[in-house]
This record gives sequence, structure tokens and C-alpha cells, in this order.
Amino acid sequence: MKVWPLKFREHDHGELLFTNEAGGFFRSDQRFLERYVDGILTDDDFEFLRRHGHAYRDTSDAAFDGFCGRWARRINPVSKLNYFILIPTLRCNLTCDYCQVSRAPETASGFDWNDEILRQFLGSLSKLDTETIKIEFQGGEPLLRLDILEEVREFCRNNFRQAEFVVCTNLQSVSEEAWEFLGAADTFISTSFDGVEEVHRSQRTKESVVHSEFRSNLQRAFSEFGTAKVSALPTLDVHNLPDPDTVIRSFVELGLRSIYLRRVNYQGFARKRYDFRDTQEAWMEFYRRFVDRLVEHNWENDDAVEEYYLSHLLRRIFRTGVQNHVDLRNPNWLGYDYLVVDFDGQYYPTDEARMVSRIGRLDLSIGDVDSGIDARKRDVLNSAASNFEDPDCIHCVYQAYCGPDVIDDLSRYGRIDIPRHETAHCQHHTALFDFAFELIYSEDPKVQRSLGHWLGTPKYRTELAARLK
Amino acid sequence: MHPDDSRKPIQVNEPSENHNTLSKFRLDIPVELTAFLNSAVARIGYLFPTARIDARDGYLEIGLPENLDFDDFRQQLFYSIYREKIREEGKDSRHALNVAVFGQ
Ligand code: SF4
Repeated sequence: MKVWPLKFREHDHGELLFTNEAGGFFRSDQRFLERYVDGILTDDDFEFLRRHGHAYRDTSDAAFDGFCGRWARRINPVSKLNYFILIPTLRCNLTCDYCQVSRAPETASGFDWNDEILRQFLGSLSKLDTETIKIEFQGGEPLLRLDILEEVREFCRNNFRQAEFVVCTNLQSVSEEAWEFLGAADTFISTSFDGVEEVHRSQRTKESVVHSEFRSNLQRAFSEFGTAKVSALPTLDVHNLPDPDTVIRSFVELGLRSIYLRRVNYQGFARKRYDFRDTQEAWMEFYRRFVDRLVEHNWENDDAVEEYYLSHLLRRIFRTGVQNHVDLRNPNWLGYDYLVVDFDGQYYPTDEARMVSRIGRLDLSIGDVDSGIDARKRDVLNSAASNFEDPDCIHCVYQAYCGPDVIDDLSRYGRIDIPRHETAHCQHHTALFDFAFELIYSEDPKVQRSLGHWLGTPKYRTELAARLK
Repeated sequence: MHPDDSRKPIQVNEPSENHNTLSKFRLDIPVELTAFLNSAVARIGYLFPTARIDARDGYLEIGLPENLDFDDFRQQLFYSIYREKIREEGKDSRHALNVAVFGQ
């Protein structure tokens, strides 16, 4: 009997977490580790390992095929380009504290797509080898260029079998034409709501008149279109974190059941204003407190609420093929299945890459609408797209669920070859996965009830949290 | 060798301050693990950049600054050796996996 290579990490109460490269996991103790390393596993050990997909007899064994299938499904394949994030204008009618890099004043000129860029972009769409397309309009405030949004949407509707549009709007100033545009069945709204009125006002809307306009537009969006069409995301400042219960209550009042907690983004001019060093601990402390309150909420209420990223991590732990979050995939191919098109027609592999480039630190553009993709630059970026051979990740117990973030590394450190454990991406994900496994092995029925909701199963089965005694 | 015995250094000197304020220790490595020592030491070296590790014949000479506890360090070092051993011994399985999935 052969055991698939196991990785391990110390967890609670002297236990060790073991995982294999296909994502199977269990907890055991130091004695098992030593039996394993010394090659003196017992029959009971082998029986447990085989039953849980960690061992096989030979390559003709069904257990071998099963492992291969699970491992292969965790690999994010290179997919066809069918998703664009467009910045038709950098202009915005708000001056949110942490957004300077992504915006220009509303009255500024030279920050919008011109006719040539629009024509070239639509020309590039017509060459795509895909029947489905998703377009996300960002900004700046994209509704300032409703004319471009209409033209792009019309083109896509006429040229693709299936087209979907997301307008990322601050909902500050919405004309009747814009409401009509947003009302279409194939068009969705993503907006920012920082969860607590005062926080939202102090970070974004500033004045109470402006804030009331936003509030009434937010209400209108939810009452007219409902949560199937409208989502709201909070951006939190780690130095001014809100009360978790207030955030949960505000989202529940809007009918939202998924809250994606995001920190103020490190990139851009924001890094000059916000101190990101030493904030990881404070953030994780808040994050844990927030999830604790969600667990309480879900215990007392029928309509369960999730923290989106935690649910995503849990799904990546328990399931294969969960590749629907572009920030955490392995390999995390850049510039293939989605592209960002900036206000000047430049292509970027991610929005973060666009922002890093905007501040002039690095040029991470990978072509433009005129000349197309710069394949050489894209290849260079993708040389570290996976964690399969990373000298630290190969030993990491979370490798199967994690994925690299080359752009974050470049943006923070200007290089990609520093030890993983020193990077913000790794520290943050190690802390998140530690927390996720704490929940998975929790014996608290309240936690187990929430886990069931977050994983979309009627009841969380505790035998999923295997233990080799 | 009994696994518990194999994990214990045969001789661990009491911490003693040297001129560079590093406490020195000697850590014997079981012979069956010495093949994995070089890569483990390279890795531990950057995980604990303030520690000094010199590989000798069958044992390590270790210098630790005050803020590093010897028992914790020894634990991490052995974990590192185990990881290298597991990776090395998993080569055949990983190769079989690659052949099965990618045909190479
Ligand atoms: S980035 Fe960090 S957490 Fe993720 S697999 Fe690599 S070592 Fe593990």
C-alpha cells in the first residue's frame, strides 16, 4: 500500500492537520506523524488512509484513479477569454478616501474612452471565440458614460448567444435613463455599501445631502430589482472597523445574505494614506469576531448569512473545481479568461495590476485594444502562475486549496521570489485557512449549523472532519 | 530505532552565551534522516534567518539568539527534515499521478 505524500501543520490542542495534494484532509497526532515518517504505519493506519482517499495499492486500483480525478479537477484550466472589466471613464462624482487612483474629477477631460477605443474594443469582441460574454462596467463611475454602456451592451446582445452585464456603480446620481438601463434582465448592479451609515458617509458620501441621495437610490435599487440583481460590498478600514452586528443587521435589512468583507486595497495612492503594516492581526481579530456573530445570527434566524470569502474557502476545501473567484485559483492564469480595459484602451490582467501601473511603480499592462495582447509580457507574468513548484507552497498543508497572487506580490514587494511566509498574501491565507479548519473541526452545534448553510448542504456531517486516532 | 528515541538529540548542551550572543547547541541527527538534511537546513535557514546552523558529520551545530527557544527550533527543524523526506519519497507517486493525468 502506498500513501500519497502528506503535508502537515500543527493545529489546536497539539493535533496536526494532514492534507494531500488532491485536497483530502484529516487530523491526527505526533505519534502518527512519526509512524508515517519512519515507514512503520499500522494496519489500522492503512485502513483509515485508504478509506479516506490517502492511499492506494497500485496504479490499477480505483483509489488511484479517484485521487487522480480529484487532483486534476483542482487544476484551473486555461479558459477562453469571455469576461471583460471595462473602465469607460475614470471620472467619478464621489471622492472616496481610498479610491484616488481609480478616479478623476467629474469635470476632467481626457479620462474617457474615445470613439476610436470603443470601435477597437468592439472590433476585438467580434474576433472572440466564445458564445458567451460577461462585461463588468467599472470606473470611475460608469453611469457617467451611459452612452458607451448602451453601445457595448447592444453589440454584445447582437453578437453572442448569451451576454451578462454588471454595472459597478456608486448609485450616487442615477438618471431615469440609467434606471431603465439597469432594469434589463441581463444587467446586474454591484454597489458599495460600507455596512454602517456613519462609516459609509465618512469614507464616501461625506455630506448628508449626498448621503441621502445614495441611501434613497440604494433603497430604490433593492425594492425595484431585489437581491437577485443587486449586490453590495463593504470596504473596511482596519483602523476604523465597524461593529459586526451593525454591519450584519444593515445587510439583512437590505435582504442580502452574503457579505464580502474587504479591506481597503493596498494598491494605489491609498498606500500613502493608510498604514497596512501590522494590520493583519487586527483584521483577523475583527474577521473572527464577525464570523462569530454570523454564527450566532444563523443560530437564531432562519435566513442564514455568509461571509462570502470564507464560504469560498470552505467550498475550495471540500470540493474540487471551485474556480469561480479570480483572486484564488491555481494556476491563476493572468490575461487569458478575463481582461481589464482601462480608460485609455490599455489591457491589464487584473484591476490591481491596473492600479499598480497607474501609480507608475510598474507597468503591468499586457497590450491594448489597438495592437492586441502582448503575449510576451503575459507569458512572463504567468511564469509563476501556479504554486505547484513554489519551494514553500510544496510543503504547505494548504497548497491544494490556495493559489498564488503574483500581482499582489509585485505590487507590495516589486518581486515575486521572496519567501512565501513573508508575503501578505500567504500570511493572510494561512490565517484564513487556519480559521476555516478550526470551524471545520469545531464541536459547537452552532458552528456546524452555519457550516451546513455555507456549504449549501442541509446538515453539516461531522464525519467530514476526519480524525485518525 | 524507536521513533521517540530517534527524535531526541543524543546530546544537547546547556545553553551557553558566546561572544556573538548566540546560545550554542549540538543536535544529533538520526542516520536515516541525514540524507534530507541539506535541503531542510537550507529551508530552515531562511525561515529563521537569525539562527546559525552548521552541518557536521551526523550532527548540527546550532546557534540561537535569545528570542528563539531551542525546543521549538528543534521541533521546526525536524518537521522540515520530515517534509523533505516525505517529498523525496513521494516522487514515484507524483510521477505516476502526472503520467495518469497528463500522460507524461
Ligand atoms: S501561499 Fe502560503 S498559504 Fe498559500 S499555499 Fe503557498 S505557503 Fe501555503
